[in-house]
Amino acid sequence: MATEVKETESAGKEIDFTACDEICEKYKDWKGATIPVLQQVQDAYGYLFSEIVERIADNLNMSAHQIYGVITFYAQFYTQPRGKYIIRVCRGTACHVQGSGRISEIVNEEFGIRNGETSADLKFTLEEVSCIGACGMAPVIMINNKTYGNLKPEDARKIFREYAQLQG
Amino acid sequence: MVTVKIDGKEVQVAPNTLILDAAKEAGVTIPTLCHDSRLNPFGACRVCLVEQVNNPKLQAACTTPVTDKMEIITRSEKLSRVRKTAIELLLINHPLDCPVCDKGGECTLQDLTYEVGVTKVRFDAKPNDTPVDHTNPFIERDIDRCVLCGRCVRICDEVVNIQAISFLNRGTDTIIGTSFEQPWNCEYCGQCISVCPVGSLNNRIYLFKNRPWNLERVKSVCGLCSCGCTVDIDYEGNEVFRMKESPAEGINHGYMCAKGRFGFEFINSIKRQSEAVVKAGGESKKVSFNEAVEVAVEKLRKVKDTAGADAIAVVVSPRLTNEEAFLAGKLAKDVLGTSNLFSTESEEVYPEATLEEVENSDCVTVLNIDVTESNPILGLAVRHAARMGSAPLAVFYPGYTALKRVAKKFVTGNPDEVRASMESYAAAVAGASNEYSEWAAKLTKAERPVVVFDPYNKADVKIAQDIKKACAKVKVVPAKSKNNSVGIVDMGFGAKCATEFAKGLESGKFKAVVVLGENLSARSVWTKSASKAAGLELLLVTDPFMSETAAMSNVYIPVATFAEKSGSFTNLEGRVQSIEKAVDKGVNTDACVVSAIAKGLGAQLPADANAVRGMIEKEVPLYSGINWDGGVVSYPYVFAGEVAATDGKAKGKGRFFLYPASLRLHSGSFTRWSPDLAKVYGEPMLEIGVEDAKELGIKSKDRVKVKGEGFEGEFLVEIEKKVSKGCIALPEDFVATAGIFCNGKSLRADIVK
Ligand code: SF4
Ligand code: SF4
Ligand code: SF4
Ligand code: FES
Ligand code: FES
Repeated sequence: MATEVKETESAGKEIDFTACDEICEKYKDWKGATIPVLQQVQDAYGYLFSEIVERIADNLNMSAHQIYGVITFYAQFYTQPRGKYIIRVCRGTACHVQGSGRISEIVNEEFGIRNGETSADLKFTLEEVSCIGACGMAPVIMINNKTYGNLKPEDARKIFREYAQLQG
Repeated sequence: MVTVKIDGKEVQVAPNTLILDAAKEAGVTIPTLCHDSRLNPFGACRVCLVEQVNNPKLQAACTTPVTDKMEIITRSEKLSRVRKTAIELLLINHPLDCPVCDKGGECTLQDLTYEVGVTKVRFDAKPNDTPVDHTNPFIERDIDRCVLCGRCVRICDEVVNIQAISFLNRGTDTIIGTSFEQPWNCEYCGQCISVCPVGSLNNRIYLFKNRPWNLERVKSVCGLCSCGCTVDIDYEGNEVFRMKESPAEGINHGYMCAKGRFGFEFINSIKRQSEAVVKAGGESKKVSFNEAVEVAVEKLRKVKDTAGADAIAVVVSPRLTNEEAFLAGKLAKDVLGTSNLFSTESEEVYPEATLEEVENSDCVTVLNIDVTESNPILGLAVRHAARMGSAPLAVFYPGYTALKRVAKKFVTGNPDEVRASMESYAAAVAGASNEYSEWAAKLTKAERPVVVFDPYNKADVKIAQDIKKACAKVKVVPAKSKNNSVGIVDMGFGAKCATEFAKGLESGKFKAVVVLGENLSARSVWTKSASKAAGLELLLVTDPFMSETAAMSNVYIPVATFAEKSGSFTNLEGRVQSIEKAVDKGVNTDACVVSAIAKGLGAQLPADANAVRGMIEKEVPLYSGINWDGGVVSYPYVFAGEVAATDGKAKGKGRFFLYPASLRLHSGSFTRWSPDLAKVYGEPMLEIGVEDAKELGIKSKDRVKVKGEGFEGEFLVEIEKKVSKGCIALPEDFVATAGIFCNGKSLRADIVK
């Protein structure tokens, strides 16, 4: 009665849990293992979906509900798939004044996504962030770990199109 | 001891006492909202803020310990203002739908609002309007009414250890919910409802049915399992509206389980019988109580005269009160002159450890029983020891149970492997050196070790006895099953082996059988012989419902449930506790039936519980001078004698090991009459592991045939992660499964699609 096996959308699709199991094994007897395990599993699988959370819970002998509580508490964890390229548009004061709002709009024009959303081809995710500490180069965006400053809106569009050309 | 002054009153308390508790000592009540003395201090709501003299900062009374010479002020103008604001802030998003909220009249937020005097809304009110969640079959969740006190999350974590709900999100988006908003599946113990101070979590069985001010209340004891929870029965007229925890009272600390909290509707069931039935010449006739008794008396007299008293047997159910079982014994022995007293219970094992001793144990071993399902409150005590007291917990069971989360060691495998492991463990306790030596050492080194086992499984009893013999300080808990499993034995219904009754039915020795409350067909030891009872000169059956056995009877008398009578039950600790009559459903009690039959036979037996108690105190030495409100019986022994070694190996052939599963929602044949429990668990389900199900191509809710040596049956499938590979499980006490487990507790079987 206790643990009903739920059928989910991805039922039928086999998920390879090996990486998840290995990560959990490493932290098994640690106190406070949850966060590092979630970080590493997220790195390995891209995001934290319900089957993987169940698996982590079983491995760590915890409740999935409790783990989900942790996941939703921290901004660093995602329960939805994320794009290959994370576009972070700074919406801090300096960048705002320099028109970073327009850059967000261009992202939307190019890829049809708004803050927090991911394009259907899983290539781009838009994240609006507050000051990333480079106000001198406002407006600033980051694509994955690369920073682009002093951006004119149309330059940004060019950069986005270049990324769109890259092999998926 | 430290001295503190609270509102001018000086009290001495132990160092580190919380201000809140010190105030209680001083007779001062501080309002609280998120605090629960059974849970760890939390300090979320700020309703309990108090002033400390010479400290500008206000202190939360529920989290701040006192220091020597501390001076506390709990009532002042400043505090009134602060408390009022705290409440006003809670009310901003609150729906204020008290007229349609089930909590109305017993809501802490409502009470506090009156108390601090909020009369109008100062802030711009923005009540939320989220749809109400009904995914849990017993609990309604209206998150808009939630004040985020966290009591539900904390009790489910700290006490129940299921963590079925959690705080989700952050800041103003915080809500109480489940992982990925999945349907809310859990133990359904309802502990979370019991602590919710507002109408956010509601009992769906009670929903919209009544208001607290209409209800009357008796304090009683739940009549559904051997834990013996103290409960409040709330009723209006002759209708029971809810069975509720009685906070901080009884051995259960105000905790209950799904059966007790949500199963009570069988008391009000329309399926209950109101008239006696007599069958003669193939015809059934509804008759009055007196007529039914007359027929029974006449037949008893006839059988006694023609075949002798030894042709009469009396069977009682472990649901009867002590007083009723005692009377039944008197009727049998003194009036009818027979020594054929039977029940499913035996005096081979007596209770030893109390629940408190389990809670405070420093090393717990659970042998082959799914105790959180079979005996939920005993299960909580085990969890308490393992979680709060950090006692190392070792569990042996063929599949994972809810104890997995708190167990330091969990031994699974097929039943034969588990048995071998338990035997090695017992040997290690006795000094052998093997893979369990390390664990055995934990037990032998502990000061207050406890071993929980299933007293109905001979092979397990043997192992428990071996452990106890090797380590005398071990206290055992035989996890008896029904509300008065222990008491009916004390009243004389455990001396004879239950199989003797089956034999007597088979051989035709018994001509007249009086069955008080028992359903022979649902008991594995009797199910095969039950049909023989149909042809007897007299089969008198009493039962609130028309059970399978009642349907076979030639004299049937409907009787009262535990909510309709007074008396006492003796729980699994051997603790005698009184039950109180709440309602009257217009039927007699078993005591009345026995007393009327005795009268018909020319003897006098009282039906009144108090009068019977006087007799028990005189005639049953174990109960002489007993306190009927919580006294614990001192038993002469734990194990009656050397338990014979049994071959516990699974019987028969087949791909799967089949073992009996315990069910939280059903303690047997009786609770199936609860419409609400039956909705969630209606018929016995075959539990099978994920891998095996996949291999066999079986899906949940498929119907499959289970076949073994001498049995066969069709069951709905429930796929369970916890079931080990190569194993399947079925609940034991259903009519459909009793015929399987009469072959043994551990069997081999095949699944035929
Ligand atoms: S009913 Fe019991 S198990 Fe379920 S959420 Fe409430 S406290 Fe937890
Ligand atoms: S649901 Fe009830 S108990 Fe749980 S946090 Fe909300 S108000 Fe508190
Ligand atoms: S069935 Fe048992 S555990 Fe549940 S409430 Fe009743 S006595 Fe308590
Ligand atoms: S505001 Fe954009 S980097 Fe500081
Ligand atoms: S009762 Fe003390 S903070 Fe809530």
